[in-house]
Amino acid sequence: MAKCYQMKRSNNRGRHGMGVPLLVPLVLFFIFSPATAQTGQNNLLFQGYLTNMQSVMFQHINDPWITDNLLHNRLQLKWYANDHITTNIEIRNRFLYGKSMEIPGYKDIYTRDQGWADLSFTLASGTSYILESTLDRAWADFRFGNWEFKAGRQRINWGKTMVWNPNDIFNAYSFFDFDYPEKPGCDALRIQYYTGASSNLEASVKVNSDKKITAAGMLRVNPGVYDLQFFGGLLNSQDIVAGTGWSGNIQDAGFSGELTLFQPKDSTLGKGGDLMCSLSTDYTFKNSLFVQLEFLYSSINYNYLSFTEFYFLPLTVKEITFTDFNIFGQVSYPFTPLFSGTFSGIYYPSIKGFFMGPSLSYNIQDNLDISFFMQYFNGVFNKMAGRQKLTLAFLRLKWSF
Amino acid sequence: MKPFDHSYLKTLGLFFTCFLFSHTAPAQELPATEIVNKANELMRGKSSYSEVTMHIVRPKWERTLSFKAWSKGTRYSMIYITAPAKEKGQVFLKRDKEMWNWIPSIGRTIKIPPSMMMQSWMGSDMTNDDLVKESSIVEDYDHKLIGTEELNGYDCYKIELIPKEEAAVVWGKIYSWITKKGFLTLKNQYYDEDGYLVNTENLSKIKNVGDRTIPTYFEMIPADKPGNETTMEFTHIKFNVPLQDGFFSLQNMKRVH
Repeated sequence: MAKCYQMKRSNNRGRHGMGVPLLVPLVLFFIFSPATAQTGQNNLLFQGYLTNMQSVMFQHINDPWITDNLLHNRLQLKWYANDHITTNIEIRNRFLYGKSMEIPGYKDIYTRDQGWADLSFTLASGTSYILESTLDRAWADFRFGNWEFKAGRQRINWGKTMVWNPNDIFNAYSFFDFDYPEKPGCDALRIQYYTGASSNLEASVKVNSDKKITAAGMLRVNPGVYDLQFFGGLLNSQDIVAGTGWSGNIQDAGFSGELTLFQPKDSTLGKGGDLMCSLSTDYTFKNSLFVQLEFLYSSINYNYLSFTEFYFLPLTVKEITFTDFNIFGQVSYPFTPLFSGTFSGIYYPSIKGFFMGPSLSYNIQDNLDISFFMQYFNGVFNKMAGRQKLTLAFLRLKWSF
Repeated sequence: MKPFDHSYLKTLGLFFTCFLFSHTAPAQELPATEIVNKANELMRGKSSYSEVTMHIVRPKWERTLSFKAWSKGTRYSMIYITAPAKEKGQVFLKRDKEMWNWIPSIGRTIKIPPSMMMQSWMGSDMTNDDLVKESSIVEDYDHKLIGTEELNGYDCYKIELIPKEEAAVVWGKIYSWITKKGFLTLKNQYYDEDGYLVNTENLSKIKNVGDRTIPTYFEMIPADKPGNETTMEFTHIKFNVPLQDGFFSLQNMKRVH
């Protein structure tokens, strides 16, 4: 899938070959565990999916199309060793071939591993193709009473709203990357203490590929019918962050939001703080029509020159958008329980731009789905370049097992 | 949603809530109520653990859904999806009127807002609300013994259930066949307010599940929709299992399997 014409970010990471040492004990753990051999009734969970997706991207329909085909497989092996210990590994294998492979720098971005350990392996690569394998989850979880410790590559999801998550400081991701709902993991240690059935305290720390540290503490409470959270810490060794998030309802409509403040640690740079805030509401009608509105504001000064530059995975939570005001709307409707359609749109007033994303999904058999997605961007990133347009379309067949 | 479909949902919810969340009314002297009460008691306990396969058949499609369910009283329940594959591992937690959905693939717990409670649960004929509400065939109806009939080789009471005026119930009338021996419900017929038959529910595969003998297979057939059917089979069910309140927590939600 072609997602980038220009590569803004370098991939200058100090590789230290942590991947294999981390992987080997985990694999041995699975293979030689007596309980695994017996496959205790439900203690071993194995699942995944295989998808094939054809994609096309162009700026104008008469311009050269960038077409790609992606064969994508995900495998999960989870082992509930006993009442206290759970381990989990998940592997993402991708075989991509097509025009985007010829774009300079694209392969580097495609294979980038943001974790402290480089657990992304290029198994084969040529002019027009790449075979990539990534270990995006590899963790062990220990529970003792109200305590829970989780170490390894994991997803720490602090988001409350749907499209943009300013609170989600451990794993930033792009809303447009719909084909990777699991999102990358981060190499982290997470400690949680549950103070009640729906409240807890958490302290988490992660190190990324640039050896930058993100560490924060979180308090979650549930007074009445609202889930509330408050956190503070350090983001990428650079910013002091503090924030709050909630999810609850106003009347029958869901209502959630997130607010995060960023203050550079090094005040000598003379740079002030920043703020990001999302608000979201959704309502499901009796006929199952689902409507969602979301708003994001970011005070951060972005300097993107095009949609394609932004499109690929953002590196930090501060880069989940490219402009100050973002207004999102979505309707989705299941025509039958097996066939559903969604239309989402985003309005970006500051760049006089918008995004449209219609999609259709059909469940052919219990475990087989076919989906069609379109993404259309239109806006003025800078006056010199004028109005830019970008169209992407995807047809995906997905088999889950 | 068409009125019929809505009623249909309610019925399914009804037989589900009988198992998981129903509560009892004060015992009354009327024999018919006593019979219904005993039949209802049979299908519930202080707590329960069950494994269920639900099969939804429509003229143009079918869907099979399997899950494990834990419940305690009317306040707490937890459901772990085991099939279909793409939804396997999802967990639903209900505590009083609140409900959460844990989605392990994205590592996130989503709080379900009230408007979503009326939406189909996992593409089935049940709504989220059906999982949470606490209606009762004992409390919400007046019961009248109208005769005895033999059904599938069992001597049965035939009981007419008429909703109480204040009860928020969609049916105009229900006929229920309950065995004289063992108080097993074998059949229910649901009528709308105009007196037309809407759904027939057949219960079978009577099994000893440990501390009691109950039907473990439910079949719901709408009267005027050929080719439509929903079945639920309790492949495993155990009552009065020891479950602490703390079992039904956001912490444990990520751990059950």
